[in-house]
Amino acid sequence: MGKKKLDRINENWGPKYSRPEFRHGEPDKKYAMVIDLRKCVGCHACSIACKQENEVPLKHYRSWVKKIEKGTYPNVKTFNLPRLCNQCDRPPCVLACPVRASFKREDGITLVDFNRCMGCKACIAACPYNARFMNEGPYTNHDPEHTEYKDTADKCSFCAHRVDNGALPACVLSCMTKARVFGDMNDPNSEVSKLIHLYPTQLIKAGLGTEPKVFYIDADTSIMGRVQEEKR
Amino acid sequence: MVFQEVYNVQHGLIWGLLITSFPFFTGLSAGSFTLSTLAYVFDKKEYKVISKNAVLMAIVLLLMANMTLLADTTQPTRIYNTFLYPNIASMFSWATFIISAYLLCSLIYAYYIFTGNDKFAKIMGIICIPVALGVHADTGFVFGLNKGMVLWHTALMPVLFLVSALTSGIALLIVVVVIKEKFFPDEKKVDPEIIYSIGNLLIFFLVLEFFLDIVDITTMLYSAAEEYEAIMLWLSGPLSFSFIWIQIVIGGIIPLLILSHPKTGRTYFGQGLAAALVVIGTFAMRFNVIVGGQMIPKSEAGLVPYTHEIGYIGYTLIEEIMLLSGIILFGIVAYILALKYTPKIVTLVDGIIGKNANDSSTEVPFELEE
Repeated sequence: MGKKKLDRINENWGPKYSRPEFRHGEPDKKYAMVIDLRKCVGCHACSIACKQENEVPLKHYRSWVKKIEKGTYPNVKTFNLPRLCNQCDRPPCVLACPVRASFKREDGITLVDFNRCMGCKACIAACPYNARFMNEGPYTNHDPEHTEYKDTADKCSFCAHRVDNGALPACVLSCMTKARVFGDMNDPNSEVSKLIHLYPTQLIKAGLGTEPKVFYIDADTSIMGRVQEEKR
Repeated sequence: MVFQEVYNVQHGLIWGLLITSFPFFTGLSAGSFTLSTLAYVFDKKEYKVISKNAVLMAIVLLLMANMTLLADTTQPTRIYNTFLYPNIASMFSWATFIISAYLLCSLIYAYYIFTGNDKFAKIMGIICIPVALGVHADTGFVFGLNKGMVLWHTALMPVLFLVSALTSGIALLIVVVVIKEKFFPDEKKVDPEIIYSIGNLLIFFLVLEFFLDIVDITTMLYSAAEEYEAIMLWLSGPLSFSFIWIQIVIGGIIPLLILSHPKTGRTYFGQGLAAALVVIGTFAMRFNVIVGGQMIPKSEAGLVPYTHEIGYIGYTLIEEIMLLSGIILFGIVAYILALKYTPKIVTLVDGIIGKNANDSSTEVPFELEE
C-alpha cells in the first residue's frame, strides 16, 4: 500500500473511527435524541441535511420522514414520523457482525468501521428498524482521481464526527421547528433529560428490548412499526 | 382504523438467490456426510459402497457453499477479518470457524476412508458428525436469531434446517447413485437393496420435516398479528405457489407417494425421480424461508417485492443466476474429477507422509470391500 493511499485513507473519517481512541468515545456521556412530533411539520429538511452532510448515495437514506394518513374524511390526519438509527443500548446489529466492524462507543453511539466491514449484510437483517443499508458510494473527502468505494454497511452515526467536535448533528441543526433535540442523557440539566423526564415518551418497537435512545413525544404507536395498511 | 402510507423509504431485499443456495448446499453437504458415516461409525457395513461417493460429494458441496457466500459479500478480500476479529455473539462468525473445522476434518476422514483405515475413519467420523450437523444448525441460527424478522424468529429454525438438510442430502445422493448406475453401467454396481433402504430413510425424514412444518405454521397462525400476516404470505400471499405447490406437493407429497408405493418405490426410476423432486422442494423451502422472511417489511406497509431494483442485493437477477450456474458447474466438474483422481491424490499424500503405499488397499479404492 503506497504512502499516498495510506494518507488518503487516514484522512477519511470512516477509517478514523476504527482507531482505538475513537472506538471508545467519552465514557461519562450518553447521547440521546428527543423528537417532539407536536412540532414536526414534515418538511424533510432533516433528510436532505443528512444526505448532504454524510454524502449518502442515491436510493438510500440515513434519516427520513415517514408519513402516514390515519382515518377517513372528515376525520383524517397525517402523521409524520422522522426516522433514524435508534442507537440502541442493546444493539442487535453489533451482536450480528462477524468481524466486529459495527461497534458501540461508550457514549452510546453505534458506528460502522468502513475499513473492516466485509459486506455480509448480517447487520442489515438483524436491525429491527431498517436503519441500515449498503453504501456503495465513495469514501468521504475522496480524491476524484482515485475514487475508492465503500461497498459496506452504513447507518446513521448521530453525526459522530460533528458531535465529537462540539457541534450538533446535521438533522438537529436543520430542523426549522426545533422538533429534534439532541443532547447528553446523563446530564440532568440538558434539554434532552428534561424532555424525557417531563413528558410521556414513546419508543419504536419497545417490546424487542433493544432500549432505543431516540425518544418520541406525541407519537402514535400504531404507525411506528410496520403499517397494517387498509385500503379505503 | 384506516391507515394509508403517504411517504416512506422503501427498504428492499438484501439476500437473494446466492444466500438462498448457501444453506441449500451446506444442507446437502451435511446430509451426504452423515450418510457416509453410516458404514464406519454406525457399523452398517452394507452402506460402505456409497460412503466414498458421499464424502467426496460433501466436500465438493461445502466448497460450493463457501463460493456462494464469498460471491455475496461486497468486500470478499476482507474475509480474513473473521479470523482476526471474531465476535462470539455473531452466528456468522461461528459459521466461519465451524465450516473451516468441518472442511478440515472431512478431508482427514476422506483420507482415512480411501486408505482403508477403518479404525481411524470411525474416530474421525465420530468427531465430524457433530461438526457437520453444527454447520447446519448454525446456518439455522444465522436466520433464526434476527428478532426483527418475524418469519425467521422461531426456535424451530435450526431444527427445521437440520432436518431438511438431512432430507436433501440423502435425496441428492440417491440421484447421483442412480445416475451413475444408469449411465455408467460398466462401473461397480451398487446393490439395489441399499438404494431402496436409503429411500426408506428418506421417507422417515420427509415425514419428520412435514411434522415440523405443520408445527411451525400452526404456531404462527395462533400467534400475534404480525406472525399471522407473515405466515399468510406462504399460505395465500405471493409465495403461496412456491410454498404449497413446489415445497409441499412436488417436494413432499408426490415423492412420499412414489417412494411408499410398492411398484414405483422399488425401481431405480422411481427412486431417482422422487429424490430429484425432494431436492427441488428443498430449494423451494430455502427460497420461501429466506426470501419470504425478507418480504415482510420492518417499517413499511404491504410487502416488499422480490425485485433487484429496490434496496440492495448487489447483483441483478441475471448475474445471480449466472454466478449460481457457474458454481453448480464447478461442483459437477469438481465431483467428477474428484471421483477420478482422489485415489491418486491419496497415494501421493501417503508418499509425502512417508507411509508405505504398497501394502495398503489404496490402489483400488472403489472395489466392493467385503
